[in-house]
Parts: sequence; C-alpha cells; structure tokens
Amino acid sequence: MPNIAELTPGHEFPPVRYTLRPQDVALYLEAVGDDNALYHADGYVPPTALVAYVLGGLFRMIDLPAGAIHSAQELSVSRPVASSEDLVFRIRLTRNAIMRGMRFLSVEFTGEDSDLLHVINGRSVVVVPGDGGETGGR
Amino acid sequence: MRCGEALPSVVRLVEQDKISLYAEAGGDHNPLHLDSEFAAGTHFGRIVAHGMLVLAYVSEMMGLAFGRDWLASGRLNVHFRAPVYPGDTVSTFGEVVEVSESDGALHVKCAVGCRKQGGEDVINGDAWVTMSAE
Repeated sequence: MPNIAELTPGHEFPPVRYTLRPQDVALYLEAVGDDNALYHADGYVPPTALVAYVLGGLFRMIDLPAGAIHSAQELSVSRPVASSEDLVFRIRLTRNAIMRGMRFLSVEFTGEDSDLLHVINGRSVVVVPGDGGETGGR
Repeated sequence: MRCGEALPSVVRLVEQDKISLYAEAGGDHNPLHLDSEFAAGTHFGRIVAHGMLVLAYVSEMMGLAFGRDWLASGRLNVHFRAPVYPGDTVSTFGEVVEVSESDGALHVKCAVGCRKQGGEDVINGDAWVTMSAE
C-alpha cells in the first residue's frame, strides 16, 4: 500500500470495480436516514453513495494518515444508477501539496457502467492536518 | 421552479451510532470518526462526523425537490466549512438562484448547504439539475 506522500499528481490508481449490492445500498440508506421511494421502492442509488464507494475504494488503496478530513467535493451524474449494477471507478491524483503544515490531496474520478458508459464523475479534496512532510507535488 | 424558491429542508440529529454505521456503509474507518481517544488528540478535540454523511442530507434535499431528475442530471460543488460533532443537529438549506430553458428542459441552479443548530454553515456550495419536460 503506497504512502500518500510518495505519490505524485497524475498518479492513476488501479480501477475500483464495484457491484452495488442491494444490502450495501440498504446499509448506506439506513446510515444516512434517506427514506425516499426513489431508493427504497424504485431501487436507485443516491449519487452521494456512489461517491462514498469511490472514496471507500480509494482508502483501501492508500495509506492515508489518520485524522485526514474532507475539504471539498464535486460530483456530476449523467443517469440514474440502480442497485445491483456493476460499475468501474477510475481515480487519478491531481494534487498532492503541502501548505502551512497541511497536506492537500485532490483526486478526480469517473464511474462507468458495464457498457463503459459514463454515470458519474467528480473531485474530492482531502486535507491532512499536521502533515508537513517534505515530499509532494505542486 | 422560480428564482428565490426554497428547497425542503432536511433536519437530522447526528449521533455516534449513525456515524459508526456510516463508517461501515462507506468503508471509511478513519479513527477521527470512531475513536474518541484518538479524536481527543486532534485539533478537533473530539469525534467528527464524516463530511460525506452530512453531504448525504444535502443530496436527500435535492432528491425531495427534484426527484428522478436529481439522479439523472444532478451536479454538486461544495466545501466542508466546519466540523459536525455527535449531538449536533444540522439542517439543510437550498434556494433556486438561476433558471434557464433550452431544448425544452429547465436548467436550475441552487445555492445549497447545511448548517448547525447555532447557525454556523458546515457545508455550502452550488447544485445544478436539468428538469425533464414531464
């Protein structure tokens, strides 16, 4: 598992393949308390759940220091995504910089369905307080 | 939809059991969200809720306001401004700030966010939706 300090902008992580299992989506909906029929009756998945799965996949691939916090988030969806679909998320590090003793990490991601059609893209910014390491990109 | 129209607010009491459940659901087991001893040693001084948990309330508001259109065309751009702690009550807010029409569809921009019981914004930013003709 790579130390995040060693990664440079442009780094592409291995694709995250994710099956939206109904029980996983149900757990997410229980956690966030969203009882909209779009999800419970129609079987769709909230856009923020897709981002959560992207980030969960990312956190399994990098040694992110404990205490890291989420600073900003962008997302854009192009169609409703249903439970049980298979998705592939591609994640790229776009920023890894130290400013005022904090590390700023930015990743961009895209999600495609099994036909390789776009369903979501976004950007996440994470800040690691107290990480004043010497390595890092721009 | 008209400019100035308010979106339905979602109000939530953020409790540790929900934070722990979110950690499991989202695969984010950062001890800042789960370990009070660890969190006490950070500059927050105590456990902080996942930003994505709170952002889910904003998405819930957008789903209530725009239904399937939110899932088909939604876009969000937000910043996390302040921590949410267990025991905080948060309320989402949203207002239509721009409406335009093209190709028979309405393109709606909203100022959105979430604030704590004391009035402090914890999330703010913009959201966009294209509303289908039906």
